[in-house]
Amino acid sequence: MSVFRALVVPLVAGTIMAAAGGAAAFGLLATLNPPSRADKLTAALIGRLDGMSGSRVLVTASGHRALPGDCMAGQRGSQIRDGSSTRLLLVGRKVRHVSGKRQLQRVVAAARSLAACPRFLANGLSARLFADRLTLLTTTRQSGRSVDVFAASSYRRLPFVQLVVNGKTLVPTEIRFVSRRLVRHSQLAALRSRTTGAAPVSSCPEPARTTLRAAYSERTTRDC
Amino acid sequence: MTAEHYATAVLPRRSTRVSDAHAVDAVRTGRREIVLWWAASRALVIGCALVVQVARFPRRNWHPSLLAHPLALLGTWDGQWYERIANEGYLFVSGRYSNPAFFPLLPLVERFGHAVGLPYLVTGLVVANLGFLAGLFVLYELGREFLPEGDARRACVYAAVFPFGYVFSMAYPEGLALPLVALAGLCALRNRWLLAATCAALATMARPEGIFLVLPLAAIMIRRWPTMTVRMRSRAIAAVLAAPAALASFAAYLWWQLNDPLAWSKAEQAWGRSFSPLGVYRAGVQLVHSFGIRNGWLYRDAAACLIYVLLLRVAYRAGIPRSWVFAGAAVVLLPLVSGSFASDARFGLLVPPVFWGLAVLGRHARTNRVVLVASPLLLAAATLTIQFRYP
Repeated sequence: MSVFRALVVPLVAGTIMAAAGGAAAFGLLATLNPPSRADKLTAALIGRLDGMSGSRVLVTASGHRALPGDCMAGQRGSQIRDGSSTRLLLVGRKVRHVSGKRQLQRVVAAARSLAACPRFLANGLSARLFADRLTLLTTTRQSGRSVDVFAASSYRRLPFVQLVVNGKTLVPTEIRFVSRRLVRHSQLAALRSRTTGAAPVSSCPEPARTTLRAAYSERTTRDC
Repeated sequence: MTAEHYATAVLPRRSTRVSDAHAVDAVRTGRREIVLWWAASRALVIGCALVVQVARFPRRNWHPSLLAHPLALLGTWDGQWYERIANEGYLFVSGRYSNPAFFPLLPLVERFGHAVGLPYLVTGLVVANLGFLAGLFVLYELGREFLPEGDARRACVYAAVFPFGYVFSMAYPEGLALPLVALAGLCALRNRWLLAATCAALATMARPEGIFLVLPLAAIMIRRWPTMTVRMRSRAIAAVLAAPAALASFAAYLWWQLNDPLAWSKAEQAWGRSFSPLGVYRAGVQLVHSFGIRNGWLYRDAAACLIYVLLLRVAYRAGIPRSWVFAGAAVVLLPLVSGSFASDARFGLLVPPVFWGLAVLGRHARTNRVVLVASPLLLAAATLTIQFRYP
C-alpha cells in the first residue's frame, strides 16, 4: 500500500498532468494556419518535378508551325533544344548559349520557360511557394471524369509564365509564356521519371502532335 | 541580560542581519550591473546591424531601406522561416528546404504580436531582446544556487557580451528559450514544480534543446524524492515529463497537418542533417572538406564546440551539478551525430554551465580583463559578418 501511494500514485498523476500539458501545447499549435489545399498541391508537385529528369514539349504559337523541343538534366545543368539547331544550357536561372543560331534575349527567356525543365520549374515553385500558390484554373473533363486544372503563375506582370497542372495526377500539362511580343504555349509530354533509368532523348522519336494533345498523364521512355 | 547572553543571542542575529543586508545589496548591485551590460551589448549589436545596412556590407545588392525596414539584418536567415510559419503555418516539401525544421513557440508569439498590431519582425526582435534580459536575470538567480554571487554575476556579464550572443538580438527563439531553460531549473530547485513543468514544455517548443531539461529536473527530483509529499512527487514527475510531452505534441501536430510526425527530422535533411551512427565521422569529413572554400565558416562552429566542451569541464570541476553539465554536453555534442558542426556555436548559447565555467575562469583578474575586452570586439565582428554565414 505504501509503495502504491509513494510511487504509483505520483507516477500516474504526474503522467496525466504532463499529458494535459502536452494537450495544451497541441491546442496552442492548432492556432497556427493549416496548410491550404493549394499549398499541399504545390508541395506534391515539387516532389513530382524533382523526380523527373527531363521533359519533351511541343511549342505552339498562333500563325506558326509547332516546334518540338526538350530539356534534359545533365551534370552541369539542363540542356535545352528548341527544335532548331539552337542548344542552350540552363544553370540555375541563367541560360548559356551552347550552339546554333543566337537568339534575342526575350526569345531565350521564352525558350527557357517553354522547355519546361523540371528542376527549373520546381525551383521556381519552391521559391514562390508561399507567394504565389497553385490556384484553380478551370475544371475540365478527361476520360469522362471531372478533373481540376491548376495553374501557378510566375509573375503578376508581363512577361509571365503559367504552369498548368492536372489536379488529379499532378502532371504538368502545359506552359504558357506571355509577354508583350510573344504568346506561346508548350504542350508537355513524355516527362520521364529519374528512377526509370531513361535512355537518351535522341533515341526516342518525336511524339506525334495528336498524341501530345491527348497526353495528360505521365509517360516513361517505354511509351516512345 | 548578561554579557554572555548578549553574545550568544543578539550578536549572531545582528551579524546575520548585517550579512543579509550585504547580500541584498550585492544582489541589487548585480542586477543593476546585468541591466547595464545587457543594454550596452544590445546597443553594440543593433549599432553594428545598422552599420551593415547603411554600408550595404558585404553585398551591394542587399539594400533594404533603413526607414522602411530598419534592422532587416536581424530578421534574416532563420528569422524569415519563423515569420513564414507565423504567417502561413507549416508545410513540408520533401527534399527541399521547408519550415517544419523550425520549432513553433516563436511563430506563435509572433502571431500573437501580429494580432495586436505589431509586425512579425518587430515582435520577434522585441521578444528576443527582452527575453534575453529576463534570461540574464534568471541565469543570475540560478547561478547563485551553485556558485558564489560574484561568479553568478560574472557569468551573466559574459553571457551578455558573448561573441555568438548577437543571436539573442535576432528574430530567433534563443532569446525566448534561455529564460525558460534557466527558469525551469530555478523553479525546480525552489520546489515550484508546476511552473518548472510549464517552462520546460515551452522551452522545448522554442528549441529542441529544451528536451535535455529532463536531466537536471530528474536529478533534482531524485535527490529530493524522500522528503517530498505525494502531491509534490506528482508535480515533479509532471515537470520531468513536460519536455518530452511538448515534443510529442509537436510531432502529433505535424502528423495531423502534414501526415508525417517526423516531418521535422525529414526537413532537417535538406540542411544536410540526419542522425546516423556515422554522423560524427561525417561531421569531421565535412569539416576537413570545407577548408579553404566558402564553407570555411564551419571552423567557427567547430572552435565554439571545442570551447564549450572545455568550459563544461571547468564548470564540472567547479562543482556545477553533473546533470546540468551532462545536459549541456548533450546540447553541444549530440548535433554532431547528425553529421555537421553547423550552428553548434548557437546551440551552446542555451547551456548555462558554459557561462558558469567561463565565470570560474574569470576569477583571475587577467582572464576577466581579456574576456571583457575580447568578447565585445568579437561580438561586433560577428554581427558585422552575419550576411556571410547563418548563425
